[in-house]
Amino acid sequence: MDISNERIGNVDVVSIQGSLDTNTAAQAQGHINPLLEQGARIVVDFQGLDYISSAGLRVLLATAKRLKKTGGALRICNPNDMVTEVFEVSGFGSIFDVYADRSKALDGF
Amino acid sequence: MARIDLILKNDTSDLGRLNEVFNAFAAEHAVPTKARQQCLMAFDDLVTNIVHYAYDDEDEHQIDVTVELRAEALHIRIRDDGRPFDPFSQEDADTTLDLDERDIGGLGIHLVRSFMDASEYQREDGHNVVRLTKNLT
Repeated sequence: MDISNERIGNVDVVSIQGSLDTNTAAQAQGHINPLLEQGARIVVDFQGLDYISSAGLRVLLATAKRLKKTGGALRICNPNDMVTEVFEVSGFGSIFDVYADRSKALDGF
Repeated sequence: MARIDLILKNDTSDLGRLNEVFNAFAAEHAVPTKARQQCLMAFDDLVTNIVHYAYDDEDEHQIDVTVELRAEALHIRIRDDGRPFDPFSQEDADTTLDLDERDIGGLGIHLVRSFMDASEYQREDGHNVVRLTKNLT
């Protein structure tokens, strides 16, 4: 997994590439946690993410829960077909804001 | 016959080796991308469950993983010597709860069942055996 983040306006965009699974979940969470300050706006960009497992979903869920408590928000963009289907089957599609690409995710955020 | 035979240790870090071998196999045999990704997810969720919950001791154990490509389907078998446990007997995760009530329990198995064309468990000779079929057509 490769993970990096950049600040665009008032939004932190976190790019995750490769796999988000049991062996990379802790690294991803550790990378995201310092960004979760009061009112943080986070876009997770999955461009180049190959696959996600339930361990990866746990990272997204923990992030969304913490952001909700602190008045922040999470958006997700660029899911591939596999990730989109995981969101549909898990019901995550209805609890996360998912956008086709980064510019749509940043729009009005 | 196109086949993978791999013995993993009961350590999730060994999953990386399975991913590498399976990705090479998938490339060689032109396994469609989404099917390959769904199998990687199934390996991750099933093997992680075994490593975390199957053993009462701290010893090293073997988890046998075989994959066969025949009749335009991937036939996966995951076999461990842990305590008897049928992963598919778990209650399905509730996928309708809102954010505050959501957790991940049971979700991995729910995804495996949804993405595989067949998934079954048997206790055989003191081993847990999970068999998955993923159709490629």
